[in-house]
Amino acid sequence: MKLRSHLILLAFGTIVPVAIFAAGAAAWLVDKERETVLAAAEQRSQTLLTALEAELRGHVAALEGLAAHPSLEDGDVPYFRRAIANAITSHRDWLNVSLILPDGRIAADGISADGVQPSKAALETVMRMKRSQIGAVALHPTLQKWQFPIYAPVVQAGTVRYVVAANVSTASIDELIGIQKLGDGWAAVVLDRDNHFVSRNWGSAKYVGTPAAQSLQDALREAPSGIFRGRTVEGIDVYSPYHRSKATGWAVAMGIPSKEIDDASNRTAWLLLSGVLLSISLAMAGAYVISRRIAMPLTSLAGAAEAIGQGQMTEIPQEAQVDEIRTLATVLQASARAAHEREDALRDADRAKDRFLAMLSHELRNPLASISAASHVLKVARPDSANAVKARLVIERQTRHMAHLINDLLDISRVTMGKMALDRERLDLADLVARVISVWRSSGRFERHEVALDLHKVWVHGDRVRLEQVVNNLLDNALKFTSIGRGIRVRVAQEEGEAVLQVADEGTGIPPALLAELFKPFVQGSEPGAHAAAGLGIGLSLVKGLVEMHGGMVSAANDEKRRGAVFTVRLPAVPAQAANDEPDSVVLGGRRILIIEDDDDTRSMLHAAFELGGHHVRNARDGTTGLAIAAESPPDVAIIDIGLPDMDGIEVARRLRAGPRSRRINLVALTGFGGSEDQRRALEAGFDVHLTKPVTQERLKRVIGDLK
Amino acid sequence: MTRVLVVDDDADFRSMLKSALELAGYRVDVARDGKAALLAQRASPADILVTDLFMPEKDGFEAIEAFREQFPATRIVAVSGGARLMKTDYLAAAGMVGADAALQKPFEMEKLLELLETLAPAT
Repeated sequence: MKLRSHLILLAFGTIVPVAIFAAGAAAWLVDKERETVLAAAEQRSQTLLTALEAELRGHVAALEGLAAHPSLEDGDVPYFRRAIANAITSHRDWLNVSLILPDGRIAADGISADGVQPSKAALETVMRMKRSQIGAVALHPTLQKWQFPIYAPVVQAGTVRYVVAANVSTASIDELIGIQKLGDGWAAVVLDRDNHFVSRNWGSAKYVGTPAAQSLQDALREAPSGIFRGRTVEGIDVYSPYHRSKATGWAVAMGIPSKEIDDASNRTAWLLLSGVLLSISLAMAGAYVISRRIAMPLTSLAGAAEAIGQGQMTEIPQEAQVDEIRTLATVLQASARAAHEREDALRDADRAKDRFLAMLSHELRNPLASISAASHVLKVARPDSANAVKARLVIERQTRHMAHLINDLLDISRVTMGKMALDRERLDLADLVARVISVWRSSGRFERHEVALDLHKVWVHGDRVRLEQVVNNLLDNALKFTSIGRGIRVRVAQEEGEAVLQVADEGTGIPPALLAELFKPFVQGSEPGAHAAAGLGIGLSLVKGLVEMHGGMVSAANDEKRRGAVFTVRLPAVPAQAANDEPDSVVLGGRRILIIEDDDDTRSMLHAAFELGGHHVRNARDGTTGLAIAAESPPDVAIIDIGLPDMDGIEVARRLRAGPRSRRINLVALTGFGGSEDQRRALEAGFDVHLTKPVTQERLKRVIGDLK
Repeated sequence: MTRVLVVDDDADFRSMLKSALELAGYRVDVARDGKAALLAQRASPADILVTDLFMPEKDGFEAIEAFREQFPATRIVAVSGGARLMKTDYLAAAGMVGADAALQKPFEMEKLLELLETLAPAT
């Protein structure tokens, strides 16, 4: 799923609950509003009912007043007729007033023979109940006006003698509705006992006298008051509060078009919906923008990473707006650079290996060529001829040379891979050189050269076999470049705490361009050229490796005066072998000693012990700190625990041996386990001594004394 | 008698080649590098030059170029152990600077002798 989709999902996840809550709140508000509106309508309905009852009561009271007219006690109908006329005049809405006999005949009326027939049922009720009654709405036949009759009994001596009836115009009720404060589009109706319209604010003329809408009738039958939802006679959907008057049997009702209320809720719903839609669009737009900001740099970084994977050094876009992506870009850049460097290093190493193989091939082909030529000579020459003798010598010499070469090759690969261990002892370098030279002399290899010796005793701590190899190689090299009859000088002396071995020849010297590269035929970086294969030999690079393993260095120079090359080996000199080799007699104070040990007890014990011995002691509890101290001021001796928290002691030793200032430090390994494998590893890593814990002070004293 | 000049910094190889060629009936002079070879050639010109390619003083390539210029009649055979170093084929390169033939060390003497026979001037 794309990032954009994730973000949109997130936005939806945030918006949807809010929308649901908002919808709930809106629905509640709409309900509340509806309730408010309906309550107001109900209130109006109630008010209208009260007004209606007052109006009708007024008419009834006035009519009952008329019915109590004294003239009727005397049965003076003509006089009452005058009272009727007065009543009609004083009551604007009274269309007519009649005096009715109990048998239904009209004894007198305001407008004679107006055609209004009193309702028999109404009359019977009035006479039976001896109370006033309001009749149903009907059209006045002659006046063509809508009216309703009110009947009031005239009771004399317990019997109903007359009934006085008034025909009241519905206009009075219209007025009543007219003065009500109604909302726009509201309907207000007044119904008579039969649920026929008496008055209506909309289309009163059209509907008066007709039955009310069925739903209203049903509601009225159900309960005397309430609210229902139904349709008006026009078919408009309304909410309708209604009341029926207990006293009169008439009813009032309001009709509030549901559209109006629902419009409000629809508006709210629409607002809500548009709000949600707007939020969603904003969220989508935001998701798009943010996903672009994230995805675009990520895509270009992916492209860059792919390019890096294919080994191209590509520019990594760094302009991302998101911090984390910028960090990623920076890290990618760094690792790309590292990968590139690693690749370069590998390529260089590969080139160096190719050079090595080419050189190896050349170095081995040359002696083989001589041997092959010599064997041909042996084949064709007489066995006792000078040629044959010479050929045999050549074969012997070149075979030996080849064997020597192969040994050197094997050794140099061991040195380069760090697999050569030194078996060191205290020895006199001058003595060692003298022995090598005497072997060369006795083998006759110096027969045709003048060899001058200048040897002074100097003690070193080294591997006898390996140092002999160094001398052999230097002599070999000198011999190779020195013409017959010319001289080779060998010098051993002590100079400023160092043992110096010099081998000078009177050969052709070393081309200046070559001086720097002389000892590194296999190292990476140097351009391969003709000289690499020019037979300068692998011997010198073995010399360099072996000397460096001893903590020394080798250099080459041209001797301006004598013409020829001078090779100088410098090794750390050690004090002369003490005549008395008793361990206790070794008291050498004033050494600078660095202790790298993470165990607090061991460290402080060693520290105290060495300080008591007069040494300058510094200590570190991990390899990093130890290396820092050693880099700052290289000690004479470093005692290193193999099991350190950050890097193991082997690694510490390797790094010390690799540093230009720290390579000559005497290294003592301390371990809790003393297997021969551990010892071998420690010695290979460059440790001079390997000690297994616990270490007695006696042993430490001896070891420190033994070291340089 | 065909004269051959052998140039190589390896004394043993030089002397064995000299013996072998002399036994095969050539008159052989030797030199230890290109510089000495040119001196020798001026003193007594050889018909064929057999030279190593990598030598300390003046290397084989320079020697071949100098011979081509100064002694165009001399036929040249390059011999070297370092036939191929990195991407460079030195024997082919020797051919390009003017060697008539090239042999990689070690070689069978019979091969060189055959080669010299074809290169030797008709008598």
